[in-house]
Amino acid sequence: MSANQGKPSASENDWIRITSNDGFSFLVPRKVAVVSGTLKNMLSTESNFAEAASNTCPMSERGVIVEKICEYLTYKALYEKAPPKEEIPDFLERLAPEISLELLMAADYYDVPPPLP
Amino acid sequence: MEAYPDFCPPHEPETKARCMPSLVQLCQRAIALNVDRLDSIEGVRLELVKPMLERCTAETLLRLEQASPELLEITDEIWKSLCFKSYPLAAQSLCMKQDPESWRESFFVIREREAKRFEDVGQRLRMQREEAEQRKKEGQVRFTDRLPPVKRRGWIPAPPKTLIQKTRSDAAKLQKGIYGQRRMIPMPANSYLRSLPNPSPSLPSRATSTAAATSGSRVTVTAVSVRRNSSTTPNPPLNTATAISQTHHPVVTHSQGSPNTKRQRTTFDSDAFAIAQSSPNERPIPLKPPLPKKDPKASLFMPKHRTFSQLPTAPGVRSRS
Repeated sequence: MSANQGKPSASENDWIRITSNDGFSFLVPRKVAVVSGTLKNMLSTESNFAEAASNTCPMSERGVIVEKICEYLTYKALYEKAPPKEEIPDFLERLAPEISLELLMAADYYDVPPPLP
Repeated sequence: MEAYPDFCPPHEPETKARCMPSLVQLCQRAIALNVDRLDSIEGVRLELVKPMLERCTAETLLRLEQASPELLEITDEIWKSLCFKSYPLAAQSLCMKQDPESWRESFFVIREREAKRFEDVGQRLRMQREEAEQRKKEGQVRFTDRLPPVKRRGWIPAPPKTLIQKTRSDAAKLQKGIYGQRRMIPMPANSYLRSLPNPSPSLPSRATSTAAATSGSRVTVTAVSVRRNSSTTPNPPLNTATAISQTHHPVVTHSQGSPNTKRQRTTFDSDAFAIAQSSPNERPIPLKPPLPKKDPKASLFMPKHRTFSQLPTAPGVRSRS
């Protein structure tokens, strides 16, 4: 949690805290967080966003949404580089229809692109 | 690199590797699957929403449009595609004429038209089926109280089979004559009374009695005269005619009976007197020896034709007693 507070440069083992607007916070490794283009930009040390310093990204979404986004980021980070033989579970079944609309909006905002070839 | 399609992104097919859809795509797909449960779409970018709208039904589309009017910009195309999907032929013909202003309107117009056509065809089929069933039912066996309708293919009466029928038809023809009408022979009541000799003072009474009998109970007179005639038998054919016609036309018989009685009186007055006198008093009890019951019937059905005649020799002879 506070392990990466003092480090000047971003390391691979950093954890990012993502907070939601209703008080939830989620911890994800940096490499997971940067799957999202927006988050990546936010955390980039090249920019002067405050988030970069504190490794915290507040998301103006509900906790449920934030959770789902983190989930997807993890899922993507995990299986992007997986060998072809490995079975990849379907993420669609984890998507509850009730949140899918909000999630769509959030996903669009946070720019979760498909994995690059 | 690794073209291993897990499941290809349906809306943005740009990735070759792994085919792992983006979250956006996943969400779009999830919504599209449940689009009918959507109440409204607000605040979402229209491009994002479009793929889902393409998948929804007309009712849903209408509902969403009403809920969020900003969708109207993109829905026209969707209506067009809906038209073509649901009613390809009609939409095709519509498109050929001119591009309609609002595909939305045309969609509903086409839909109504198709529904009406469907209904018409269904109606026709139903009618045909009912008619076929009706026809089939008529051929079935049914319980009924009434007799089946008589088939009259030309009202030819059956030829007379029995003696009775023959004589009857002959008598009828006789009466009909040429003109086909049953003539009413006027009753020469006076004439026959006049011809009578007047020996006894009981003539008036006799006449009256006879007249009374004649006018009153016709059955009685007729019966008596017939019986008399049979026993005396001056004229069997006429007698027969009388007898026969009696069954049909008592009036005619009655009048015909008078000439008979007249004739009879010329020969056997006494007998007539006796009978005439007895008739008002007692009915059919004759003064003659009591005939067996069968006899009047036998005389009634005296055959006219010589071939079937039951007379011993020639006609004009007493039949039998």
